[in-house]
Amino acid sequence: MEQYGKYLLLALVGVIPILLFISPLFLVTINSFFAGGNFTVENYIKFLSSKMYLRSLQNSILITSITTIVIAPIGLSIVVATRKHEKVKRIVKLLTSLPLVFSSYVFCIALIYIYGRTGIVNHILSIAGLEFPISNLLYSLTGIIFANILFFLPYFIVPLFSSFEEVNPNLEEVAESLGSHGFHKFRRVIFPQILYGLLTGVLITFLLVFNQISVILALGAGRTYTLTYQLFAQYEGFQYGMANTIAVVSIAVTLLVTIIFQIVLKKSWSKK
Amino acid sequence: MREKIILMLVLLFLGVLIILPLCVVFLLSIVPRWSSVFPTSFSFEWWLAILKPKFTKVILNTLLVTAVSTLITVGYAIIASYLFAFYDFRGKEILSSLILSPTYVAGVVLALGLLTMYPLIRNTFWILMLGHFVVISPIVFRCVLSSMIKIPNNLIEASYSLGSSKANTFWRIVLPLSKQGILSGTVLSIGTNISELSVSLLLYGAGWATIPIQIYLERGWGILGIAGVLSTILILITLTTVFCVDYLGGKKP
Repeated sequence: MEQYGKYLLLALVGVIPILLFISPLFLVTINSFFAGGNFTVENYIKFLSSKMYLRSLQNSILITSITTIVIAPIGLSIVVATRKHEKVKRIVKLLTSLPLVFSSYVFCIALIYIYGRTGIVNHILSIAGLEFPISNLLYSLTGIIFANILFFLPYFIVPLFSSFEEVNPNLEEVAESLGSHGFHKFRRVIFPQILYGLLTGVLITFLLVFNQISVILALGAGRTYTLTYQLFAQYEGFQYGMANTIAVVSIAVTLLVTIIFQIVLKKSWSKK
Repeated sequence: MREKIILMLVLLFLGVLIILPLCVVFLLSIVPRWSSVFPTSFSFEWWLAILKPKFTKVILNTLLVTAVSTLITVGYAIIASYLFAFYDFRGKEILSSLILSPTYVAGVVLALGLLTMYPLIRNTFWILMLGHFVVISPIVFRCVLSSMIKIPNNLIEASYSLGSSKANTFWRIVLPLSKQGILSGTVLSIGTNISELSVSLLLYGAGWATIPIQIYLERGWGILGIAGVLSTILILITLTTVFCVDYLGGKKP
């Protein structure tokens, strides 16, 4: 009876990801290899030979990499600067947890009104008599990366705070009493302890930015395509075969990045 | 002194970057035309426009999807966390990564999968709800599990040895002790449900647009005032739930 209940619970919990996550994605993968009822790799050849699709893959990787590379040092320095001051830390935590529950699409609309063509910043600049080339900047690749950085910075900061909270204060005190301060202390004592959390944060930020669609919906202006936006566009255009293929490519990139990171993480873990 | 300046700069930086866009969203909803640094006139014309049945239906849709999906998500998260916190079984790691991984797959990909697998419920409320469930259940599961795993095992054993049944122990010991995690999971679920766009973008059918979808559509037509009003409503709903749950969580039974 005891065992019976456990397996009932297990079946109940396990069947849901299989029904709603694994088998749909499996079906999408299978479908991407079929066109008109025959097994074929036609879709993939089309993907690899078309400049448009390759361009969106390239855009996705470019935007995501730059965003992650910029977010990591900014987030790290904000956490390092504020972690010892309880009051400030509380405010920073509150501020950064706001975007976690707000729509990134709404956020981008607000950005248009601040930094866009007729936005606040441009008006201030024009009062000062400056002609800043900011007008079209927001809709370019740079602007999209900027919006991504703003929106996903909190996603990096919040978990990083908790890995800093796990740093052993005794080790820090010992280091200080032995005359290690400032950057030296950070590099030799604290950094090794937070490295795992830091790398996990980088991976999660990368995956979140890579897989989101809202920023590009708001700022892409129908010109800049990323992989997710291309999938949406193909689906809207009834190109289901291509949509399936793009989905598989996107999953493949996600998996590849995760596996590479797992290897790096294991190395950094075993060093510790 | 130098430290204080650095702290002020950090706060200013975050404040400008994060708070400013939120204020602008609210201003958008009460400014008829915005063509200088500060808005020159205010009116509630957009707020009155929102009372049209088209928009009230969108708001009701969002509330309905959020309520149903939150209920199911939190229920599932509690059951799954109970299993993970108090039972050992083979393949535990695999199952937990299975439950958690939808967070790291693009929303449109998940939606495409659901549409391929369940074409019969296309354009209905149910597929929209399933989509929301798939994206949000990992977040809530992580939240509930982290609080349930902290319950000391000897409390559970004490309850059993005093003759309490499994169901009774679950009801009287496990649930009250993991209340904090369940409540914050509920807040997260409501917040993400309301602002969810990437999955619903493919799944919403005729008559089932939610607030974020409507904002997307309105913006496509070049009307930003309505988008401002809807965004403000979205933010207000989220903030209200955060405070309500915070209040409920703070009250001692």
